[in-house]
Amino acid sequence: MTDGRGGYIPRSLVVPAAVGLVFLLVPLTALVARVEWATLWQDVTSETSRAALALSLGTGAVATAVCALVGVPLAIVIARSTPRTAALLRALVTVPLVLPPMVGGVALLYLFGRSGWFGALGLPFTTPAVVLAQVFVALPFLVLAVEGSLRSTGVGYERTAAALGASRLTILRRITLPLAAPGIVAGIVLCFARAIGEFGATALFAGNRPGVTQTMPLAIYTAFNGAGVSQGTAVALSLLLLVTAVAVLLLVRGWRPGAAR
Amino acid sequence: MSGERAASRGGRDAAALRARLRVRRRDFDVDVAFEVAPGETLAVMGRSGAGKSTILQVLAGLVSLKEGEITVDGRVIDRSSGPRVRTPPMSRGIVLLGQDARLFPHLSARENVAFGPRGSGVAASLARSAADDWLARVGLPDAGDRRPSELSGGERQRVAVARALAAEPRVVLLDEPLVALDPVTASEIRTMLGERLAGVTTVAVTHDAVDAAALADRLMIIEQGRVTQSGPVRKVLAAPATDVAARIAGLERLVGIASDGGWLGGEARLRTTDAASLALARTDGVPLAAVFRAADVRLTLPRARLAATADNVWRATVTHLVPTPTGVRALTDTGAAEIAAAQAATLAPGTEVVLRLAPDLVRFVPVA
Repeated sequence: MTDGRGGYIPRSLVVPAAVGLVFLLVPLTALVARVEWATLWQDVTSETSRAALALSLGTGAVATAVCALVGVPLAIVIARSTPRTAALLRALVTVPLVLPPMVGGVALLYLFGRSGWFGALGLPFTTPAVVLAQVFVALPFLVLAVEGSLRSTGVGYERTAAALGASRLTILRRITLPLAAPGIVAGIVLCFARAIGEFGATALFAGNRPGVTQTMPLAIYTAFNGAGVSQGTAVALSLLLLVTAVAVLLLVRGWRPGAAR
Repeated sequence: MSGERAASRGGRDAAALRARLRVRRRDFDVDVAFEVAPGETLAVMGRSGAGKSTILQVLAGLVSLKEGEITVDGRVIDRSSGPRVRTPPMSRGIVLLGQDARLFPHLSARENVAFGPRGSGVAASLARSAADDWLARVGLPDAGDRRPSELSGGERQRVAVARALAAEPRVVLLDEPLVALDPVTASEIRTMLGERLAGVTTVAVTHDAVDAAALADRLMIIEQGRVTQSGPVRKVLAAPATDVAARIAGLERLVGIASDGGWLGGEARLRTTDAASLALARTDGVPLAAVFRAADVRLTLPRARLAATADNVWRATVTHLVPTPTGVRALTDTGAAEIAAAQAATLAPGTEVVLRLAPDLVRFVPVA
């Protein structure tokens, strides 16, 4: 840090930074400490836990894909709006973030429930309902990450590309999206992490049917509340979720298109 | 001359640009009209904030016209009314080269240069090999695989030039592309630009008379959004009609009146041997500016009892002494003189001095 490469920050910042890091990691250590290694394998390979893991990964992947499909265009529209419109749209996108997920679940239930506007679809308490709940809570993460990256890049390169005669579609494909790639990767990571951790909205809107809507967080909750099983199962499932999540995130992080910039 | 230059380049024929434009700015309207013949380069000069870059942005389609019309080879690409036309930047065939090269950071130099042709449907392999040819032409034959972050500032500008020309633009706009470069690199790229832009219709905004002289056929001076002078580069630089033009040309300009076949400004009286200047000074009382180079002015300390000032010799008071690479520029209340550092040591602001200027080194120009 003496050659200025790390900028010039007060050295004392290391203390609160360390406190923060410790606070994030120590609870996880406590969790691992409670693992009953003897029954671990049995717990994580049980029918319930395998079904929950498969459901979590499946719904999480589909939800992330949906988020990317609608979230990236939404982020582009926000980033290229006038400042006033952009501020309004950004506030709207942020609303689901500040709502307790459970409220989101209630809202989805009112919308898609039997007496709701889209009640005829019969969505509640089905697997698609799990995906919907995850999209609802995870979409803002993706939109905000991508939008921030687009806005910091600005429109200069797009203007240059236009002057060189490129069509709007070419500019999007060859300039806008590649330059936003780091933001898109970050957004997808955040979005997937949020989706597979989703509990509140899923519990209310999709329920807790093993194999159909019981994702990992719901399975952990069920196990922890001792529905005939010991807390050891809950801890084992938590560890499984943790390891899976970290593995997926490392995989996505490893994929860096062209290491832009 | 421009015809020959146009013929020397293959590819698309050069286009004629004609513009009459008015744009609203916060402080004043930019209101100019000009034409650029096919293959010709028009330099636009003026102080910062005079509206030069605004003109380029309007031509590029990034700022909309309040009033006026722009045509390229007779085709209207922008018109404010009846019927309104607004061609988007991607369909104008006008490329802007700015101070910042703005190379796409995620693409190699080759892909940057190939970007324009690929966008217009040229096969990727063909566009890439053409890009390599362009890179060779701008002096970077082996840079194709390098990323913009691996190039120096001068190399980036070279790639930007190649990228702009590879897109076969009808008109090229230059917005001080050399200003961020060191003098040596700037001079090399100026030479390269001069070669590459021969026969390409160009509008070049610059702060440097050297750029204008090297690159342009004609020069247009802009002040407060209006054209104050335009014409062949050498002619404008030799006969600056305003103070701004004189500064750009590096000339001293003193405003006075014609009197008795010479120039009179306060106590100073200048005579000239220049025939055109003498013709201008024929009518007494006509406003007239005397222009000369500060380096041609001789500065001495007044001898005791210099009774009255003679022709081409006048008294002045030093106001500033500014060191220059070769000596010192002594600014006075009436004109400046380039002097040696040793002589400057005897002077201070407020010192009375006598300035002398030979009649063959001064010219008179009309006051705009």
